[in-house]
Amino acid sequence: MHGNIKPNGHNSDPPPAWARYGVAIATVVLGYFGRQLLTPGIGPTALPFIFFFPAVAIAAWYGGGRPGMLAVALSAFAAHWFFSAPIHTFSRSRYDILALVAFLLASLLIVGAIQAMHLARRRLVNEIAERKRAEAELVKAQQTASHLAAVVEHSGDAIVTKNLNGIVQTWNPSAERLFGYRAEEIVGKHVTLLFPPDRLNEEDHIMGRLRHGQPVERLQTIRIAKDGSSIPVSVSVSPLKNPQGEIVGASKIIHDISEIVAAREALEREKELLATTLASIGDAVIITDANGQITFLNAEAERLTKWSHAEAVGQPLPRVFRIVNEETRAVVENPVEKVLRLGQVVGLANHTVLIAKDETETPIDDSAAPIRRSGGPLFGVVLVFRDFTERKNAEEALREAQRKLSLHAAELEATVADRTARLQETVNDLQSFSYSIAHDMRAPLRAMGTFAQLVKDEMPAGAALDTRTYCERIILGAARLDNLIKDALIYTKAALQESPLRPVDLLQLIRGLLETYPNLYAAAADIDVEENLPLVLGNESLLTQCFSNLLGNAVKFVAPGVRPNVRVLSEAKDDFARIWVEDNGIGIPEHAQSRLFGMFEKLDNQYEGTGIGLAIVRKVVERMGGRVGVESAPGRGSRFWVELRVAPRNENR
Amino acid sequence: MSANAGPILAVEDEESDRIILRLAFERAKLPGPLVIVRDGQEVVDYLSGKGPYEDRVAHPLPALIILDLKMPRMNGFDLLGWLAKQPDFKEIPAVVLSSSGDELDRNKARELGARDYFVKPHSLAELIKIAQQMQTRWGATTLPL
Repeated sequence: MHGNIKPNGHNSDPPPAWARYGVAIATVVLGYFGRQLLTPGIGPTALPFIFFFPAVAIAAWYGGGRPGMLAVALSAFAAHWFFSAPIHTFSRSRYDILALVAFLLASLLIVGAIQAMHLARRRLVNEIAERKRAEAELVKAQQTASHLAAVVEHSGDAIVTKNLNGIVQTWNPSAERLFGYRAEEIVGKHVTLLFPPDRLNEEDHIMGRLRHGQPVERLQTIRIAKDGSSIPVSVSVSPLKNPQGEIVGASKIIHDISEIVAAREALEREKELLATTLASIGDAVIITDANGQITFLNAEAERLTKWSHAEAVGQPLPRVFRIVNEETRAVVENPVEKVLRLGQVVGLANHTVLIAKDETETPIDDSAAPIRRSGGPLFGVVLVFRDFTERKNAEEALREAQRKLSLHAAELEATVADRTARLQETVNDLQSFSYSIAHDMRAPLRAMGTFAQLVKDEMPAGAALDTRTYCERIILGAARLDNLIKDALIYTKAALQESPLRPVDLLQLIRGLLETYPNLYAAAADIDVEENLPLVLGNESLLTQCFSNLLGNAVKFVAPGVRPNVRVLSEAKDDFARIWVEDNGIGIPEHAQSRLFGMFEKLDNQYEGTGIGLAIVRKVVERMGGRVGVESAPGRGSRFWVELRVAPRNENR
Repeated sequence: MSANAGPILAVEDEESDRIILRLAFERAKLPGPLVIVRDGQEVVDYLSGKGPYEDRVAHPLPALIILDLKMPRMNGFDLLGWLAKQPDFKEIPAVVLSSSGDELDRNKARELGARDYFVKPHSLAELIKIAQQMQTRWGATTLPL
């Protein structure tokens, strides 16, 4: 529109050319008729141009310059031809020519003036339109700016602008929240205020890209807040240009990714944990995706299949996990396929052998389980299997060990049986020996004693006293030896004979002794037996030996002329009962007490005895699991004690 | 018991003991004759009337058998066992006179049918007492006093 000046004052399209020229011609015609109308009044040649001035003006006003010029030309001709005398000739009169020139000049001025008026008006209109448009654009720009400002203001991301020197220009509320600096604190400072020392070079990199007009998108890095904390962020930087298109700075959008980083780190830790767990468990683990392609295998699986993780990942499972039946060599159905088909955990049959990449074979057992997000579709399978070799070997070794053990046990049993047999043989030998002593050795003794007695009995009254004494010595010696043999036999028997233990009523046993043995009769000694003697676990014949000896000793070893006074009492000691036999005898010096219970120990030759009695007591008590002892002092009597196990109450005799 | 007053049949392999036994029975003034043989086998022969004992008149069945446990050829337990199985002789009382005072021997002898058990004493006087006890217990009805 600018520059190209069209006629017509309206802003709309100008009238077509024929209308503009038509109007020019028509106005000239109307001018001609208008002058004709005046002719009756003023004559035919007066004021020839009077009505042609308005015609030119109207033609120029309506049609513009050229139609105006046409109207000027036509009007000049018409006025000169029709209304200059002489009429209908081209007057050569100097005055008429001058009038015509004047008309031409005036008409051209009118056309020019109207044309100028048109131009001025058009310019004014254009200017107004231009201004309106500019105003509309300004409003729009203002709206956009305020929208953008609102976006910046309320954006969750920190949005910062800086100039090319890196000086912060703007700073939005999110930036305040994220970094802790208020806008007035940081605007005008250098952005590297936010940079960790080891990342200062990032600014050079960013600015380098910006100078070439290249944006920086989602750079993941670390920035430092006002309080010194590190914030993982994602930074996008775009160049800012002035209206001339020159880069004058940059806008930075800084997105806090600490939650994402934390989540990612947690995920990494989970993965690390899972990887460590999978690596460290003794079982081999292979994981596949839903297509049965391997996505993971752990170290044990690598060892067994001889496939490395890198080689195996992406391979279909059956290539890596080749399994056949140990005996039939038939290929066993791939458990992962089975899981994918059934969608449930499956186990593997026994006697399955895994063929590794290098064709070595390992017996394995395994199971496979589907992996599904809770309730969701299956998206993988985990296959767990273990090397069965060691267990097989262990079972083999166990069987071997058991076999050896039972062999050894049998050997041991045989040895024990052998030893026992030999021991029994020895015992039997000893017993026959004792038997032989009892019968054969004592017979000659008896003969000696008896015949000596006969000799003495039948000796004439006048025989020498010595001879009689000798006979008596033979008789006494034989009797002593016989007693000795008898006691030795009792001792041997106590030591060797099997003596089953059962509950024995001690009170009853001792009362029986007092009635049986003449030396214990009430006539010979005072023996006081406590009423509440316990029921002990013992052997009746061994106990008889024990107490007949103890009581016999108690009444025997008294000072001459002293009536024996003996007390039998008991004392409870946990599971044992201590039975005391106290006498008023001559007592035993302390130095002799330790060897008192030895074989053939006689303390006092004044008293008749074999020196075996207390050895027998100790032996029989030990056979019953008990102990013996004595407390005594010379002249103050003796207190012998025997500890015996108390019989369980519920057991009857 | 046999109605006939038979002899007392004793077994004793030891020469001295035989003499002492005979002496004791004499001093105890026991009425019947005392026949002493040397071992268990001879008792069997005597009772069965074998060999030297064929003549039952010269060797009548005894009224009492006194036996030791330890004897050559056939010991006392074997003899008791044999006697228990003889319907003709099992009524003849058998008593043991042994050196052994062992409880086990006593019990075993009783189980095998011995009517009494005496331990050989050390003196003649005591043996005389035993002989008298035997007479009192086992000889009264058979031996006319």
